[in-house]
Amino acid sequence: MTKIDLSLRINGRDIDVSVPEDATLLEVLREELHLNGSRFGCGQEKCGACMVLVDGAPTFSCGREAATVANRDIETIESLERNDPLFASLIEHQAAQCAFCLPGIVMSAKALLRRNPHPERAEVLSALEPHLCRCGAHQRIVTAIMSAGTP
Amino acid sequence: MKSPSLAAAPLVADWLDLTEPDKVIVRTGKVELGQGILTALAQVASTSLGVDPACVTVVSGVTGVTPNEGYTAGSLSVPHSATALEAACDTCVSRFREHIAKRHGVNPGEIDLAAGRFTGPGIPDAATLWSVAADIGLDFEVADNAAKPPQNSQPPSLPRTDLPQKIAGGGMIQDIAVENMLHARVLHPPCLGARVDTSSLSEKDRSDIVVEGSFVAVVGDDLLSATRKAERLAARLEWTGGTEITQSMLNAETLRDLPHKVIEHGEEPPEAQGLEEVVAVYRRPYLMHASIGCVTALARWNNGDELHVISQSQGPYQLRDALAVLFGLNPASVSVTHAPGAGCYGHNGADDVAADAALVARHFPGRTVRVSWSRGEEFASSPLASAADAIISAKVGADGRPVSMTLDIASATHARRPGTAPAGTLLGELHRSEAQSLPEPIEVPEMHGWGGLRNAISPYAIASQNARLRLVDPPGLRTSAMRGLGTHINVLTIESFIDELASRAGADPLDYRLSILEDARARDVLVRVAETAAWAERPEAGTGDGWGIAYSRYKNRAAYVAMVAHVTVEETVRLNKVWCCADSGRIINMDGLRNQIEGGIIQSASWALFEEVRLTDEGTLPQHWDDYPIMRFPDIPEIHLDIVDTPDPVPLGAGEVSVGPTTAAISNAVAHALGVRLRTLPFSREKIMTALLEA
Repeated sequence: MTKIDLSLRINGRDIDVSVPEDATLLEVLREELHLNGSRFGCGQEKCGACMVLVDGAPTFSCGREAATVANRDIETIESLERNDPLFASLIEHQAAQCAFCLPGIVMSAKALLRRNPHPERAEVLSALEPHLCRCGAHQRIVTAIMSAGTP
Repeated sequence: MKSPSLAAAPLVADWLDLTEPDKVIVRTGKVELGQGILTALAQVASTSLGVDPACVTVVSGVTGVTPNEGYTAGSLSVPHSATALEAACDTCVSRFREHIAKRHGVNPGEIDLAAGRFTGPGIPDAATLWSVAADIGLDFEVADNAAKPPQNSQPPSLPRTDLPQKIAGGGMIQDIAVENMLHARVLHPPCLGARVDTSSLSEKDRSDIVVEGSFVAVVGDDLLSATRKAERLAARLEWTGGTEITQSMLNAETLRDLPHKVIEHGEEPPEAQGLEEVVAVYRRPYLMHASIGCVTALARWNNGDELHVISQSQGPYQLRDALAVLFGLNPASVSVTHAPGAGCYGHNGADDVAADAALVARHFPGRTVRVSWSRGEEFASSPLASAADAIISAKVGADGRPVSMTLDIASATHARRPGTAPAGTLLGELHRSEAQSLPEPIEVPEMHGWGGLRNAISPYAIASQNARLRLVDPPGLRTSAMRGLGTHINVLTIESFIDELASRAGADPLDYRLSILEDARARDVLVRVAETAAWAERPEAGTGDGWGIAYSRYKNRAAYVAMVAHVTVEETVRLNKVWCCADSGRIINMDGLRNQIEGGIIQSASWALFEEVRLTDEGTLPQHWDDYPIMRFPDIPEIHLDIVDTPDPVPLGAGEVSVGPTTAAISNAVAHALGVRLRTLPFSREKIMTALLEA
């Protein structure tokens, strides 16, 4: 397997990796860098469990070769501060069951809240369209995101 | 009644460890599936022992360490485990009080317990839970849980103890890695019974492959290399034989034509002359677990005959025993430790992937092997939830009410978990064996609330009722337990049919139900949900705007749940809102209860509107989310949930109680919206178009 050297800017840190040339961003995050919060759900860009932000835009890390995002700003769930209002709101609303889907959802929500700190329900539903949750915690998750901008 | 969990673990010491000062270790056989059970148990221990929740650590699902409480299934974790733990804590405190009282010559009634410290006149400061435990130990029997307050003096819900870590991206089995670990991918046959031909593989291909019979796995030092090699090899492996699946085999209406054994529940109604008979047929397709994560397990063999497994299984002890059978070991040589995975709603691939890991790891003694399934395997290799074909018939009296009712269900089994058969419950075990035959299908016995017959007898006051299960064994399809088992099709069938009878009688569906429903708690949830949803103001039928109501008592002995659904039907069904009123008996953790009921509503709505196992264009079972769509965020209804504060000392469970009435209420709402009834799930665009053309 041919390896390539890449410089990735992840959560504000520049990290040099040597990875197989076809390695996806998700594979590099999880297997090389042990940033396990981005999750493998399908590898088909259909469930959103692997969602990260690339230059602020929600991006399926499972379908993106790491080489294509070199030197761009990558944000993963590991960048979420415990004092982030979104984190607090998710806890306040107990907005999860298994929580496997949640790190990806949080990244899409971060992007939405930066654009619009007080989204309407329809805007949240639309921003979360790429994400699947099977436990049925949707209503709590939506409420938590809508409330995150309100101190 | 004594919790069955106490029969398995009768001593306080089975449940509690008070060795380390200011720490309470709780042991439970129930496992965390995202339902918050470990939080509920921590809350119970903290409340009953009077300690801060932060002192409590819950150890869960470790064979040889925690009580064997069977599967974490059946909406029974709070009813069984929480009540057992509470009894253990209460017994402990009362025994400790007696000990202190005797020792210091005081009255036990004068001893207070707070923050783990016993206080009162004449009691030295040193008397704590931990000091008394050190004195007298915990090896005494748990007393039957005597007088609990007549409920809902509920303490506030303890927030989920595992959420902060999980939101931040931790705490999953997929994240567990150890030094020198190997990764493996399994190459599953295209269908059950297929044999692999490896003769075309080169020497190079064969390196890093494990082949036992038709069990094939690829091993690598890292996940990427194992995955890439598996992908390359999958394209080249040749499979022959096996049971090819056709679309016709997946259609519920073909179930009744298969050979079957009959299980009767109740007596055939007597011949009734002169009464009109009404008959309807309801169907649901095969369904999938469709968890968002892919099942994962780790296994390691030591000293040749000692197997250690980390698994997301719902039943660590049952998995341990099945692995012992698979490898011809004494169960004591096998350990299974639970670790949380993505949401689990029944018998998915969790046990299978653990067997996969164990099969591979046996070739690499002393090394831990981690196996994860791919999305395609998650879909096509996990057990399915059975389709069902249900014929319901009633003899109706002159007053329009049923005199007798018979439900005749054709369904495959809901019970193929480890422990339901002596062998053959693990997929890798089947692939490895020559015969590859699935265990004989069984019906879950009545004492466990039935499988295909769950909720097959209606809750209504009908002079004569019976149900008949035609238990079929569809070739090539491995079916097993999923959330609620037969309750989903049976409540859909009965509650839709009751609406049809109400309509024949010219009665409002709510009034009609109340006219044949005696149980006060049942009537209460129906009346309350109707009030909240402003049922009386629903429009005429056939306007495209539909309101439906439904009721069931889970297993006919657990929680009472009534539901109203509001839909708008154009080309598709838009589920706008669901109102639910539930009486789940005594409440331990209110937020956990609500979360489970909400989740059941969403999952059931997804089954009702979107889900169906169909063959792909390539003739395989679904491989991608596009092949098996589920409810997405823009599709979700608003949910209004009302929990009854009832003076029942017994908790009745939550996990599965809402799945039956949700689909039934949607069915009734769709019929009300269209003025035409759809009787086969899912209520898709195709079904609506067909129904409207035929109307």
